[in-house]
Parts: sequence; C-alpha cells; structure tokens
Amino acid sequence: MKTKRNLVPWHTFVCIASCVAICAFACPASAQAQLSDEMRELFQDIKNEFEDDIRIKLEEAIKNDTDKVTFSTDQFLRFRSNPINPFEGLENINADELDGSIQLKFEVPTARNRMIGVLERQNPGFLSGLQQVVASQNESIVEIMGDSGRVCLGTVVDSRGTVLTKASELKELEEIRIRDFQNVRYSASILKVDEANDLAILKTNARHLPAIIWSQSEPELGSFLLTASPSGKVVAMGSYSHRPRSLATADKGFLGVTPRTVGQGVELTDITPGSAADLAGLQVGDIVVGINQAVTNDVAALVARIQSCKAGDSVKIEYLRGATRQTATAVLAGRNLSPDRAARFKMMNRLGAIPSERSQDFPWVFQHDSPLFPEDCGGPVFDLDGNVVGVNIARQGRVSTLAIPTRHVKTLLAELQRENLAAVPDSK
Amino acid sequence: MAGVDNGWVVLIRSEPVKISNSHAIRLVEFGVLLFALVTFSTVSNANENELARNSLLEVQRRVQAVVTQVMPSVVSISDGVGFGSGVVIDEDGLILTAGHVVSGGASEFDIFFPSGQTTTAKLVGYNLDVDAAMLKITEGSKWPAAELAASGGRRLGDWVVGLGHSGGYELGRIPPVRTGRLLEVRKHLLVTDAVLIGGDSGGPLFDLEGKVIGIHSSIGDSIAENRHVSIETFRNDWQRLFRGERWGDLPNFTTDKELEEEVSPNKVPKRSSRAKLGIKLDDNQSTAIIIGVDSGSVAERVGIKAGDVVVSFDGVKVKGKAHMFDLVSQKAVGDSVAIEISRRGQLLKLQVILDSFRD
Repeated sequence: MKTKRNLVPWHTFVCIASCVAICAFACPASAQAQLSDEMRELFQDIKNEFEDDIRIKLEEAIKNDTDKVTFSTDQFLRFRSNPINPFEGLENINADELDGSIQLKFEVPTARNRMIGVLERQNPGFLSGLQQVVASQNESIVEIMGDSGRVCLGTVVDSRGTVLTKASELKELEEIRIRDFQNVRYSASILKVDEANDLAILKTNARHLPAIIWSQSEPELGSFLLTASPSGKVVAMGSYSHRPRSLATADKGFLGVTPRTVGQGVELTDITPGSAADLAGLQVGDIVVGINQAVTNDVAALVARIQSCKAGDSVKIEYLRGATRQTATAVLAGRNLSPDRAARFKMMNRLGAIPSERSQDFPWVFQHDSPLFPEDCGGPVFDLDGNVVGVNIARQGRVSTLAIPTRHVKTLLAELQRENLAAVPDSK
Repeated sequence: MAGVDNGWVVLIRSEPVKISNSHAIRLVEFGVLLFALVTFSTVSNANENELARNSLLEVQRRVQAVVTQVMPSVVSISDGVGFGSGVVIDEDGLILTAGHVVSGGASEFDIFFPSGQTTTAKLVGYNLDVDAAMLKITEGSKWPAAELAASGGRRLGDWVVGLGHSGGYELGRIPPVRTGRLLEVRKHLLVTDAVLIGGDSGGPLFDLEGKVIGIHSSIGDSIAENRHVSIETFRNDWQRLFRGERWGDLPNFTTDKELEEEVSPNKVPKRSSRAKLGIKLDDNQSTAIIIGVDSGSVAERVGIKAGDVVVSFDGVKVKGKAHMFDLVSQKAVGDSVAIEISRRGQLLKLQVILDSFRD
C-alpha cells in the first residue's frame, strides 16, 4: 500500500534559530528525476548539517543526478526536525510513503515567473510610469550576453566604448558580447579586473554610446531607487536601506564585548568567551575610556574605533577597573556567524530570490531592497531624480541588493584605468 | 503560494476582514490616484508620468521622515540563543515583539538599540496563538519610543515601512529600511511586500505617519508574502498581555506532532544509539570554546567546565563548533575517547566514555 502526500513549507517564522515545521496535505506526486542546479546547490549547502547516514543519502542524490531521496522513517524525522529546516524555500516536497520508508522529491520555487499583484511595489504598470526618470541615461546601459541570454548589465563609462560590469558573471563566458539599447551586438574583451570589488572593465568598439553621468549626491535613507535595462525599462524599484559600509568579512575586526555608555566611558556588560577582549584580560564591569589614544566616551565612538581596524590588528585599550586606570592590548579576531544560523539564513535568502553567485565580501557597498535577479546586476542604480547613485554589484538574497556607491566607483574606475594606461604606455 | 496560504487558513481559519475607510489620509489618496493612473491607462503620457513621479516623491519624503523619527526605537532582542527584533512603545521601555521570539523559555532578554546602547528586558506576556508578545525593559526611563497607530483605517495599497535587525544584531549597522505596500488584511495579520528575513521577527511595520501598524511574524516563499501581526490584534489582547498572562501555541507545533504520529504510529524516534558529550559550544568556527555543560552529562562527570577549549577529540585537532559536532556524531554510545582540554593555558587530558542522547 502506497500513500502519497505533499509536504508544503508554509510558515517560516522570521526569527533566527527558531525551528519550523511543515504541514502535510494529500496531493498527487509527479515523477521526473533530474536534479536542478538550484537543488544540487541546496543539497551541497545542507548535507553537512546532518548525521552521516542522511548526509550520504544527499550525496548519493547529487551523484545520481536525482531529486528523489529515500529515507527510513527515523531518518525522515531526523531530517525534518533539523534546526536548519531543510524544507524551507522548497515549493513542493512530494513524499511517497513506501513500506517502511519515505521517498521525498524536492522542487525549488519559481521566483522568476511569479504573478505580480496589482498593488505590489513591483507592479509592472507602476514601474513603467517611472521610465522617464531614467530616460536620459538608459543609452549608457548595456547587456552582457551569454549563450542563453543576458548574464548581467554593464555601464558605459567613457565615449571610447569602455564598459564597467560585474566581473564574476563573466567567468563562464567563452567570448564576451555586449548588446546596446538598440539591440546591436558588439564583441568585447576584458581590460582589467578588480577581484575584491568584483568589477571588470571591458573594451568594446561601441564608440557611439554616451558615457554615464555620475551623480554627486548620496541618497537619504528611505529614498526610492530604480534599476533599468538598456531599453529604458525600469526592471525593479526599491528603497535605500543602509548607508555604505564594509562587508569584507575577512577584514572586520571583532572585539567581543557588549558595551554600554556610562558617565566616564563605555562599560563592558558582557564579554564573549575566547574573544579578543577575553584574551586581553578585560572583564565585565571594566570601563573603556580610550582605544589607540583616542577617547571613547560613548558606544558610538568605541564602535567607530573598532570598525576602523581590521581582523589581526592589535589595539591598545585604556580602561578603568574600579579606581585604577589600566591598559591592555587586544588582537582583533574575525567574526563568524554560527554554522546553524548561517545555513538557515541562507535558506531564507532563497525564499523568493535568487542570490548572485558572488554575493558577499564587498569592501564598500550600500544596501537597498530592489528585488533584482543576478542578471540585473552590473548596471547603474538611479534615484527618483535620475541621478546615478551607484552600480548594482550583487543580489544578496530575499531582503537585500548591494551596490557600490558612485563616489567609490569613480575612485575604483580611476585606479583601474590608471593601471591599464601604465601597462600600455603608448595608448596615449 | 497556494500551499502557504492553505497552511495558514487551515490552522488559523483566517478570513479577510472588511477594511473601513473612515480615516483616509491624504497620502492614501495619492497612492490610489497613482495606482489608478499607471495601471488603468494603456497609453501613459508625459503628464501622467510626471504626476506618478511626483506622488512617489511625496511618499519618499514621508518614508525618509518616518525612518529618521522611529529608527532609535527599533531594538534587537536575544535570549542568548537566537535573535529577533522589537519596538519600544513607551518611555518606560514597554516593547512589542513576536510571540515566537520569546517562546524559547527564557524570561530575561538582552536588548540592543541601533545606537549600540544595550539593556535587558523581562518577559511580560504572550499569546502564541497570534504570535504576539510584550516585554519590559528592567531599568531606566526616557527610552526612545514609537507611537502605535489607531485601529482601523488601513487601506489596501497603503505604503508601509518595515524595520528590523535582519540576521541578528550587528554593532554599527542600523536596521535596514524596507518599504512596500499593504496587500491583504487577514484576521490577525497584515500581508505586505515589505520584505523580511530571519532576525526581523518582532520588528515594527510603520505607516507613513511613523506609527506602528504591525509586528513582523512570518514569510512565505514569495517576496510579496510577508506577514505582520496587526496592531489591532495586540489591542484585543492588551490587558491580558500587560497583566502578564502567557497562553496559546505556535501554530506549527500541533501539526508537527500530528505528522510525527502519522508517519510513525508505532515507533518512538530512535535516538538511543547516537553519542553525546553534553557540551554547548560557542559559534566560533576556528576554536571549540565551551560555553555550557549539560547537567548529568558525561562532560559534567569528568569535570569539563564552561570556558574550557576543546583542543582535540579522539586524536583529531578540533576546528570549531561544526567540526566538533561532526566528530562526536561519528562516535557510538559506549565508545571511549581521548579528549584534550585547554583551561587557562593548561592542557588537560581526559578519557571519556560517551553517553547516549536523552530527550
């Protein structure tokens, strides 16, 4: 006797580390075994979160290129009750109940072709009413084309056909072709790559395209931002969520304290075991009054000081313990999100979004909530006055798109072009 | 999405609520006008587009003002295990958050303000049936507070601002600003396209006057499925919550149990063969720092203490929490294992016989 059920991920509480379950509904299962790229990636991401027997099942599925996994009842229960909630982000998990075992078939949702409601911020009619905002500059946007369509957007930065784009999207391409606002195609070659910022400059023979006009202004928190394609269509709208900051994970210094502003300085109300502060001998109740000779009279000053340092830097901390003034040297460590939380967060990031292949570790980016797809990155992002306020560099996940602010883009561009000219002395 | 909705409807029996339009503010009219122009005209001319942009500029001006005004009141809440968000709603430090943020058993919580200021709060009450909870800061006064919106008066299509400490608290990062529109009003919930993710739970949803209209609760698999407990829901339970009552069940737990019984009617989940040491580790990925020892566990019996660092396990150098977990899971109950522990610079060598999981 074989019963079928459909396990629907229905209710994801948005609290990190809460454990979420699923409902069961009777529903016919469909057959078709082939593992999609998204599912393969997901199996890869989650397999190490499980005990060996379950991990091996997932590895076998990857090896055999199938989206069906057969578990024993016990394995199924353990799989399902894992805190990372392996069902999250999946459209459909059809379970065939066999004799003493359960066969699961995994499917990912279609974030790309969903129905957009009339009231939504992303309503196409609504966005088309905003086309005029980008109308003066859309000819400075190009598409970078792969075999199966656009891989990303690019920004024309001078009148000699130089294009700035997202470097990591070019990796798979055998030859680079761009397409302009009139659908004319050109071949292109990579002049220079900035790995850290994931930028590449391309040389093309599209010399008639106008250079983008960069803006001087920085948006205010809550400003609306638009992303457009070469045709001038507004592909997405969002809000300016966070000012530029470093998301370079390797560099971030971490002291490991919970600070609180008190009269004389910053009191430490908690210290993470094993953290830089702990190892330096700081104790709960110590009042930090200075870091590297600078006065830290409130939490903001302390945070600013620590954030100006990188992991591995040593900082000199002056503090009061009781009545005595003391000094300690702490070597800042890097910070890690716990593997559990990281995996769970990664799942949620895929709910309704497709993250860019390279979506992390950027030295200087602002955050907005425009729901871009990976192929919408690499081009300019506009404010409602048509100012180019940055270049979209990655879709991070469900709530976040990252962009390099214009001022920083201009600096990086100058560096890239200077290096390039230096390499080719007679190009003047 | 249908599946998501099914889940909700089946469990909560939610039904759409008629929305009164008695308090239509000017901005609502802007929104409706804008919507009418861009969706019902097939040919958009320059004038209409200029009008669309102008009304959006007005919305933007309001959003910017709301963000400046309410940002200081949006807190991150931690029970020491997970992170959620919340909003301070009076100067004495009353906080609204989601039920599932505080249902883990803790009664005291760390509170983090966007400024970096920290304090603690105590659990006041919760109604898990609707995912609503109340906390109170234990010290001080004059806390930055947001105002609650009046009940009713919401219209579909209203612009909203969502704030929350996504992904948990980060020093130096403020809650990222999200905007969207009101898409649906259900019995206890508002549904918007202001996107949410882990860590946002319990954070506030504002109208364009900067008043709290909802508390973030859950998401579905579309970016247009973000659910917030409505402020009306909180008002219905206000007296009981404020008195300190705690009641209800998170919806998923019932189904969880049902499914478990259904899938394995005769079997108790077999866990006895899995080995356990009984330690809690810090989240660090390079060093296995012990932050807690389970009472009655083998770790406690051999004298392992919080603050110890596991150097090696069964001859393998331990590289952080995940690695440690992996190593233990490869062992069976009854295995004898050599463990090296570093305690204040001193190396201790222990031999332990692994115990089983007891739930």
